[in-house]
Amino acid sequence: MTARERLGRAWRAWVELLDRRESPTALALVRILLASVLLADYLDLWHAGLLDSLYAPPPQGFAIGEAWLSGHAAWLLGTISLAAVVVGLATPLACVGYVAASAALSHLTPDGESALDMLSRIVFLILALSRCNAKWAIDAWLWRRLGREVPAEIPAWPRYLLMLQLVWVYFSGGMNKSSGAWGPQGGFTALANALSDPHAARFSPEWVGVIYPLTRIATALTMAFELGAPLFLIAYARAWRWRWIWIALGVSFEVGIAVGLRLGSFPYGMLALYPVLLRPEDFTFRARATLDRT
Amino acid sequence: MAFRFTFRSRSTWPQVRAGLIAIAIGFGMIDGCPLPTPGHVPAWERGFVEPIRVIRDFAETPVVWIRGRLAVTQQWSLYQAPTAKRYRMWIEGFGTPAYAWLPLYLAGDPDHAEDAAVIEHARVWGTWDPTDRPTGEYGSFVKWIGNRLFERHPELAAVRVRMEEIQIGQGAYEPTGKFFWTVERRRGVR
Repeated sequence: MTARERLGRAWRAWVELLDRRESPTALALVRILLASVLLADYLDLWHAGLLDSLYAPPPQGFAIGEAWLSGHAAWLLGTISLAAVVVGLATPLACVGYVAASAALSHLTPDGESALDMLSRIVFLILALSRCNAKWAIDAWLWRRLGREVPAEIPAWPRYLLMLQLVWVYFSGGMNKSSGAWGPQGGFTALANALSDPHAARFSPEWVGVIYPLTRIATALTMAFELGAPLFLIAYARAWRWRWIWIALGVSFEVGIAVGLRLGSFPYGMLALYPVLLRPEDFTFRARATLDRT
Repeated sequence: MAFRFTFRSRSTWPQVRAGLIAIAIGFGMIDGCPLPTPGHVPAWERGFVEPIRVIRDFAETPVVWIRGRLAVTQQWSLYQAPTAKRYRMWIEGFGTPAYAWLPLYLAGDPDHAEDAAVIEHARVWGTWDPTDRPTGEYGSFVKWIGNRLFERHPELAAVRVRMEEIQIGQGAYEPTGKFFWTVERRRGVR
């Protein structure tokens, strides 16, 4: 086979992969879960009375940047958009509305956001191009009422892109870990350091001393999880069962962060993206198992 | 004619879509190329890191506006450097009746936790927590927290914010007594 033929074959396989269709369950779940996490976060900002502090310039607040929307307007647009995304109302428009609002808030106070905000701007742009509103959404209900067909299967490529994005976030995070504390030369002490840091730790550091060897194992596992992320894609493509180990490591990592560190909605938002890591048959298997039980 | 157009565009669309997605992934991978930030490049890497950065920046030219407008990047830093050398924020007030600097907030100390719920809020925390340098918002944060504390404590004449270097060990941290980025605010001074 010549190089040109090989290239042509690869291209056809690529086109075919991105032309696949599947149930909207995974994307609908991500839409609802991620938007709910962010909506709770936005409402908490308002409840804590921090809108002016975070997004107004001194002396009223400590915003250092400028944006096309004021902090209040951006927060309001973001909150309304997220509520619309959760219930699946005018979903593509609401997704774009959220991205615009979140970007404005990021410009006002760049360090007032976590990696989750940046990731969610990318995720919601992809969701805006998807048919994530074909299930558990007011949009789908309205289409049915108007006599329009609601597809049982939607294009799979947005989920593939989101899966690639999530895997890349972890892999890139692993590659960009600059401290020796994440590796053997630093004694795998990174997680113990983080859990003892008075700025970020949720609890007093004494308990870290008790489980110190475990934190070193957890640090090594975290690095294996992040740097091994591309292997998940191979395991996923071949439907190998050990892909569940990678997913379980990821869940443990995020739950550990949620318990030990005060990082706000970050770990919950990351977990909200995990449905994209599941194969469509995983959902049908679970649905069938539930039916069998009942 | 209309039928032919529809048929042709339908058969072409998956190819166009696949091409657009490949281009998007390509730009994402270029942007995500793991390069150390300028000024933090080890000496032995400078010979090749800077030329790669120039090529990357040039290749990104058509889409660089997306990064700026939407504030997105594909270089992810998730708890990049939790080193043993860290900092602990002190917020102190000076005024009657003690006429001495007294701690109002000391990170990780439940006995000095004035306004802790706000200061430690996940979205506020990032605006003052330093890496190896203070955050961009640090100055305006100090101004804001100073004004907030003056309102709550009429007895205060000045507020001081500083970061003490600490050394994290096994289940404890030791203060080093070295303070950095000290900023003082006096009542009535803008």
